[in-house]
Amino acid sequence: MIEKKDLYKMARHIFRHSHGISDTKIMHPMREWVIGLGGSFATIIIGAVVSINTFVSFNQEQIYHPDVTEVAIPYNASLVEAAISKYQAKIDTYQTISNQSLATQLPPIISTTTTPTEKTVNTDTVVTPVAN
Amino acid sequence: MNKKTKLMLYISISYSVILMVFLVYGIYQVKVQGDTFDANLLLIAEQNSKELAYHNLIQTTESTKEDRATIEQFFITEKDTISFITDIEQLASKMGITLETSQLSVNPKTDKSAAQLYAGFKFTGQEKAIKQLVLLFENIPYHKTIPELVLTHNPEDGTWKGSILLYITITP
Repeated sequence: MIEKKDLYKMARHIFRHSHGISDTKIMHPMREWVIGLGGSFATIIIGAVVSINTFVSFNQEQIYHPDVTEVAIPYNASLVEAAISKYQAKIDTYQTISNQSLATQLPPIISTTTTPTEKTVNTDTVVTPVAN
Repeated sequence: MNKKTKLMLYISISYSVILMVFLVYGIYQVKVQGDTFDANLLLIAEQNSKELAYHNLIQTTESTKEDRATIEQFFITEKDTISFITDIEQLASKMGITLETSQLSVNPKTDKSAAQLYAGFKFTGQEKAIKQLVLLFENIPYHKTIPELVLTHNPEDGTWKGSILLYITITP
Protein backbone atom coordinates (compact mmCIF):
# COMPACT_ATOMS: atom_id res chain seq x y z
CA MET A 1 0.00 0.00 0.00
CA ILE A 2 1.19 3.43 -0.99
CA GLU A 3 1.52 5.68 1.89
CA LYS A 4 1.37 9.30 2.16
CA LYS A 5 5.10 9.48 2.52
CA ASP A 6 5.56 7.69 -0.77
CA LEU A 7 3.27 10.11 -2.59
CA TYR A 8 5.31 13.04 -1.37
CA LYS A 9 8.42 11.30 -2.53
CA MET A 10 6.96 10.72 -6.00
CA ALA A 11 5.76 14.25 -6.30
CA ARG A 12 9.06 15.59 -5.18
CA HIS A 13 10.71 13.39 -7.80
CA ILE A 14 8.44 14.61 -10.53
CA PHE A 15 8.50 18.32 -9.71
CA ARG A 16 12.07 18.42 -8.68
CA HIS A 17 13.67 21.36 -10.34
CA SER A 18 16.52 20.46 -12.59
CA HIS A 19 19.17 23.23 -12.72
CA GLY A 20 20.94 21.48 -15.54
CA ILE A 21 24.53 22.21 -16.26
CA SER A 22 25.46 25.52 -14.75
CA ASP A 23 26.73 28.12 -17.20
CA THR A 24 30.12 29.34 -16.14
CA LYS A 25 30.59 31.91 -19.02
CA ILE A 26 29.84 35.55 -18.35
CA MET A 27 30.28 36.84 -21.91
CA HIS A 28 28.29 35.47 -24.81
CA PRO A 29 29.76 36.99 -28.00
CA MET A 30 26.78 36.21 -30.18
CA ARG A 31 24.33 37.70 -27.75
CA GLU A 32 26.49 40.79 -27.12
CA TRP A 33 26.97 41.42 -30.83
CA VAL A 34 23.28 41.11 -31.50
CA ILE A 35 22.44 43.49 -28.65
CA GLY A 36 25.18 45.98 -29.66
CA LEU A 37 24.41 46.03 -33.36
CA GLY A 38 20.66 46.02 -32.76
CA GLY A 39 20.93 48.93 -30.33
CA SER A 40 23.16 50.89 -32.69
CA PHE A 41 20.87 50.23 -35.62
CA ALA A 42 17.82 51.32 -33.62
CA THR A 43 19.65 54.46 -32.47
CA ILE A 44 20.68 55.32 -36.04
CA ILE A 45 17.14 54.78 -37.35
CA ILE A 46 15.57 56.89 -34.60
CA GLY A 47 18.20 59.60 -35.05
CA ALA A 48 17.68 59.64 -38.81
CA VAL A 49 13.92 59.97 -38.44
CA VAL A 50 14.26 62.80 -35.93
CA SER A 51 16.88 64.56 -38.07
CA ILE A 52 14.83 64.26 -41.27
CA ASN A 53 11.75 65.50 -39.45
CA THR A 54 13.68 68.48 -38.05
CA PHE A 55 15.23 69.25 -41.43
CA VAL A 56 11.87 69.15 -43.20
CA SER A 57 10.21 71.37 -40.61
CA PHE A 58 12.98 73.98 -40.80
CA ASN A 59 13.27 73.69 -44.58
CA GLN A 60 9.60 74.51 -45.05
CA GLU A 61 9.70 77.38 -42.59
CA GLN A 62 10.05 80.85 -44.06
CA ILE A 63 12.93 82.93 -42.85
CA TYR A 64 11.70 85.16 -40.09
CA HIS A 65 11.82 88.76 -41.14
CA PRO A 66 11.97 90.98 -38.09
CA ASP A 67 9.59 93.88 -38.02
CA VAL A 68 11.81 96.93 -38.10
CA THR A 69 10.20 100.33 -37.92
CA GLU A 70 11.16 102.34 -40.96
CA VAL A 71 12.19 105.89 -40.33
CA ALA A 72 10.22 107.96 -42.78
CA ILE A 73 11.61 111.29 -43.81
CA PRO A 74 8.87 113.85 -43.32
CA TYR A 75 8.41 115.98 -46.36
CA ASN A 76 5.17 117.87 -46.79
CA ALA A 77 5.12 118.48 -50.53
CA SER A 78 1.71 120.16 -50.53
CA LEU A 79 2.86 122.64 -47.88
CA VAL A 80 5.96 123.43 -49.93
CA GLU A 81 3.87 123.99 -53.03
CA ALA A 82 1.48 126.21 -51.09
CA ALA A 83 4.39 128.24 -49.72
CA ILE A 84 5.98 128.62 -53.13
CA SER A 85 2.73 129.71 -54.77
CA LYS A 86 2.02 132.13 -51.91
CA TYR A 87 5.42 133.76 -52.11
CA GLN A 88 5.38 133.70 -55.90
CA ALA A 89 2.19 135.75 -55.71
CA LYS A 90 3.96 138.14 -53.34
CA ILE A 91 6.87 138.45 -55.75
CA ASP A 92 4.48 139.20 -58.60
CA THR A 93 2.66 141.83 -56.55
CA TYR A 94 5.94 143.33 -55.39
CA GLN A 95 7.21 143.51 -58.97
CA THR A 96 3.95 145.03 -60.17
CA ILE A 97 4.02 147.72 -57.50
CA SER A 98 7.66 148.43 -58.22
CA ASN A 99 7.01 148.76 -61.93
CA GLN A 100 3.96 150.97 -61.31
CA SER A 101 5.99 153.22 -59.07
CA LEU A 102 8.63 153.49 -61.75
CA ALA A 103 6.04 154.27 -64.39
CA THR A 104 4.17 156.87 -62.37
CA GLN A 105 6.72 158.63 -60.33
CA LEU A 106 5.12 160.99 -57.93
CA PRO A 107 6.83 164.20 -57.01
CA PRO A 108 8.64 163.96 -53.73
CA ILE A 109 7.36 165.81 -50.75
CA ILE A 110 8.97 169.17 -50.62
CA SER A 111 9.94 169.97 -47.11
CA THR A 112 8.68 173.32 -46.00
CA THR A 113 9.64 175.36 -43.07
CA THR A 114 6.22 175.03 -41.52
CA THR A 115 6.07 172.31 -39.00
CA PRO A 116 2.88 170.48 -38.04
CA THR A 117 1.19 172.18 -35.18
CA GLU A 118 -0.01 170.54 -32.07
CA LYS A 119 -3.58 171.17 -33.19
CA THR A 120 -3.24 168.73 -36.04
CA VAL A 121 -5.72 165.93 -35.74
CA ASN A 122 -3.99 162.69 -36.52
CA THR A 123 -5.60 159.44 -37.33
CA ASP A 124 -3.51 156.67 -35.89
CA THR A 125 -3.88 153.27 -37.26
CA VAL A 126 -2.05 150.51 -35.47
CA VAL A 127 -1.88 147.28 -37.29
CA THR A 128 -1.54 144.15 -35.24
CA PRO A 129 1.36 141.86 -36.09
CA VAL A 130 0.63 139.67 -39.05
CA ALA A 131 2.80 136.77 -40.06
CA ASN A 132 3.45 136.84 -43.76
CA MET B 1 34.37 39.64 -14.52
CA ASN B 2 37.94 39.18 -15.40
CA LYS B 3 40.36 42.09 -15.93
CA LYS B 4 39.89 42.25 -19.68
CA THR B 5 36.10 42.44 -19.34
CA LYS B 6 36.37 45.23 -16.81
CA LEU B 7 38.73 47.11 -19.08
CA MET B 8 36.30 46.82 -21.99
CA LEU B 9 33.50 48.03 -19.73
CA TYR B 10 35.46 51.09 -18.71
CA ILE B 11 36.39 51.84 -22.30
CA SER B 12 32.74 51.52 -23.35
CA ILE B 13 31.58 53.86 -20.60
CA SER B 14 34.28 56.39 -21.44
CA TYR B 15 33.40 56.20 -25.10
CA SER B 16 29.70 56.74 -24.34
CA VAL B 17 30.48 59.70 -22.09
CA ILE B 18 32.71 61.29 -24.74
CA LEU B 19 30.02 60.79 -27.37
CA MET B 20 27.41 62.35 -25.07
CA VAL B 21 29.67 65.32 -24.40
CA PHE B 22 30.18 65.86 -28.11
CA LEU B 23 26.44 65.51 -28.71
CA VAL B 24 25.58 68.08 -26.03
CA TYR B 25 28.30 70.38 -27.33
CA GLY B 26 26.88 70.02 -30.84
CA ILE B 27 23.37 70.88 -29.68
CA TYR B 28 24.72 73.83 -27.70
CA GLN B 29 26.58 75.08 -30.77
CA VAL B 30 23.44 74.76 -32.88
CA LYS B 31 21.57 76.90 -30.34
CA VAL B 32 24.36 79.49 -30.17
CA GLN B 33 24.58 79.68 -33.95
CA GLY B 34 20.79 79.98 -34.14
CA ASP B 35 20.82 82.90 -31.71
CA THR B 36 23.63 84.52 -33.69
CA PHE B 37 21.62 83.99 -36.86
CA ASP B 38 18.57 85.68 -35.35
CA ALA B 39 20.67 88.59 -34.12
CA ASN B 40 22.31 88.98 -37.52
CA LEU B 41 18.95 88.76 -39.22
CA LEU B 42 17.66 91.61 -37.07
CA LEU B 43 20.81 93.59 -37.73
CA ILE B 44 20.51 93.06 -41.48
CA ALA B 45 16.85 94.08 -41.39
CA GLU B 46 17.76 97.26 -39.51
CA GLN B 47 20.57 98.00 -41.93
CA ASN B 48 18.23 97.42 -44.87
CA SER B 49 15.71 99.74 -43.29
CA LYS B 50 18.36 102.42 -42.78
CA GLU B 51 19.61 101.92 -46.31
CA LEU B 52 16.09 102.30 -47.63
CA ALA B 53 15.58 105.43 -45.55
CA TYR B 54 18.89 106.78 -46.82
CA HIS B 55 17.93 106.13 -50.43
CA ASN B 56 14.55 107.75 -49.82
CA LEU B 57 16.33 110.74 -48.30
CA ILE B 58 18.68 110.99 -51.27
CA GLN B 59 15.76 110.70 -53.65
CA THR B 60 13.77 113.31 -51.74
CA THR B 61 16.80 115.58 -51.61
CA GLU B 62 17.36 115.27 -55.34
CA SER B 63 13.72 115.65 -56.30
CA THR B 64 13.20 118.70 -54.07
CA LYS B 65 16.40 120.47 -54.99
CA GLU B 66 14.59 123.01 -57.14
CA ASP B 67 11.84 123.64 -54.59
CA ARG B 68 14.38 124.11 -51.80
CA ALA B 69 16.33 126.56 -53.92
CA THR B 70 13.12 128.48 -54.57
CA ILE B 71 12.17 128.51 -50.90
CA GLU B 72 15.68 129.61 -49.96
CA GLN B 73 15.07 132.78 -51.95
CA PHE B 74 12.21 133.61 -49.60
CA PHE B 75 14.67 134.19 -46.77
CA ILE B 76 16.92 137.20 -46.74
CA THR B 77 20.63 136.71 -46.25
CA GLU B 78 22.77 139.04 -44.20
CA LYS B 79 24.73 140.11 -47.25
CA ASP B 80 21.48 141.11 -49.01
CA THR B 81 20.42 143.33 -46.12
CA ILE B 82 22.01 146.51 -47.40
CA SER B 83 20.78 146.03 -50.96
CA PHE B 84 17.28 145.33 -49.61
CA ILE B 85 17.26 148.58 -47.61
CA THR B 86 18.65 150.46 -50.59
CA ASP B 87 15.94 149.03 -52.86
CA ILE B 88 13.21 150.07 -50.43
CA GLU B 89 14.65 153.56 -50.11
CA GLN B 90 14.97 153.92 -53.90
CA LEU B 91 11.45 152.65 -54.51
CA ALA B 92 10.06 155.00 -51.88
CA SER B 93 11.94 157.84 -53.45
CA LYS B 94 10.52 156.99 -56.86
CA MET B 95 7.06 156.90 -55.34
CA GLY B 96 7.60 160.39 -54.03
CA ILE B 97 7.87 159.35 -50.46
CA THR B 98 10.39 160.58 -47.99
CA LEU B 99 11.65 157.52 -46.22
CA GLU B 100 14.27 157.04 -43.62
CA THR B 101 15.49 153.90 -41.97
CA SER B 102 14.82 154.24 -38.27
CA GLN B 103 16.03 150.86 -37.13
CA LEU B 104 18.32 148.23 -38.51
CA SER B 105 19.58 145.42 -36.35
CA VAL B 106 19.93 141.68 -36.33
CA ASN B 107 18.30 139.58 -33.69
CA PRO B 108 20.55 136.56 -33.29
CA LYS B 109 19.36 133.04 -33.69
CA THR B 110 17.91 131.33 -30.63
CA ASP B 111 16.80 127.82 -29.89
CA LYS B 112 13.22 128.70 -30.75
CA SER B 113 13.62 131.11 -33.63
CA ALA B 114 15.93 131.84 -36.52
CA ALA B 115 17.94 135.02 -36.78
CA GLN B 116 15.84 138.00 -37.76
CA LEU B 117 16.54 141.34 -39.32
CA TYR B 118 14.75 144.13 -37.48
CA ALA B 119 14.12 146.90 -39.97
CA GLY B 120 12.15 150.02 -39.11
CA PHE B 121 11.15 152.77 -41.51
CA LYS B 122 9.55 156.17 -41.10
CA PHE B 123 7.95 157.68 -44.15
CA THR B 124 5.94 160.68 -45.27
CA GLY B 125 4.02 161.13 -48.49
CA GLN B 126 0.77 161.42 -50.34
CA GLU B 127 -2.04 159.03 -49.49
CA LYS B 128 -1.89 157.09 -52.73
CA ALA B 129 1.86 156.69 -52.54
CA ILE B 130 1.70 155.67 -48.89
CA LYS B 131 -0.92 153.04 -49.71
CA GLN B 132 1.35 151.70 -52.42
CA LEU B 133 4.31 151.68 -50.08
CA VAL B 134 2.39 149.81 -47.38
CA LEU B 135 1.23 147.35 -50.00
CA LEU B 136 4.83 147.02 -51.06
CA PHE B 137 5.90 146.31 -47.50
CA GLU B 138 3.17 143.71 -47.15
CA ASN B 139 4.33 141.97 -50.29
CA ILE B 140 8.04 141.98 -49.66
CA PRO B 141 8.89 138.51 -50.92
CA TYR B 142 10.68 137.48 -47.77
CA HIS B 143 9.42 135.53 -44.80
CA LYS B 144 8.61 138.21 -42.28
CA THR B 145 6.22 139.62 -39.72
CA ILE B 146 4.98 143.17 -39.39
CA PRO B 147 4.68 143.73 -35.64
CA GLU B 148 3.94 147.43 -35.92
CA LEU B 149 2.46 149.82 -38.48
CA VAL B 150 1.39 153.32 -37.52
CA LEU B 151 -0.15 155.75 -39.99
CA THR B 152 -0.85 159.37 -39.15
CA HIS B 153 -2.81 161.80 -41.29
CA ASN B 154 -1.91 165.44 -41.40
CA PRO B 155 -5.04 167.23 -42.65
CA GLU B 156 -3.29 170.54 -43.12
CA ASP B 157 -1.20 169.49 -46.08
CA GLY B 158 -3.00 166.24 -46.74
CA THR B 159 0.10 164.16 -46.23
CA TRP B 160 0.44 160.94 -44.33
CA LYS B 161 3.16 159.94 -41.97
CA GLY B 162 3.87 156.44 -41.02
CA SER B 163 6.26 154.08 -39.38
CA ILE B 164 6.61 150.39 -39.86
CA LEU B 165 8.62 147.67 -38.22
CA LEU B 166 9.56 144.54 -40.09
CA TYR B 167 10.96 141.33 -38.65
CA ILE B 168 12.48 139.56 -41.62
CA THR B 169 13.75 136.03 -41.14
CA ILE B 170 17.35 135.62 -42.12
CA THR B 171 18.24 132.37 -43.88
CA PRO B 172 18.15 129.68 -41.16
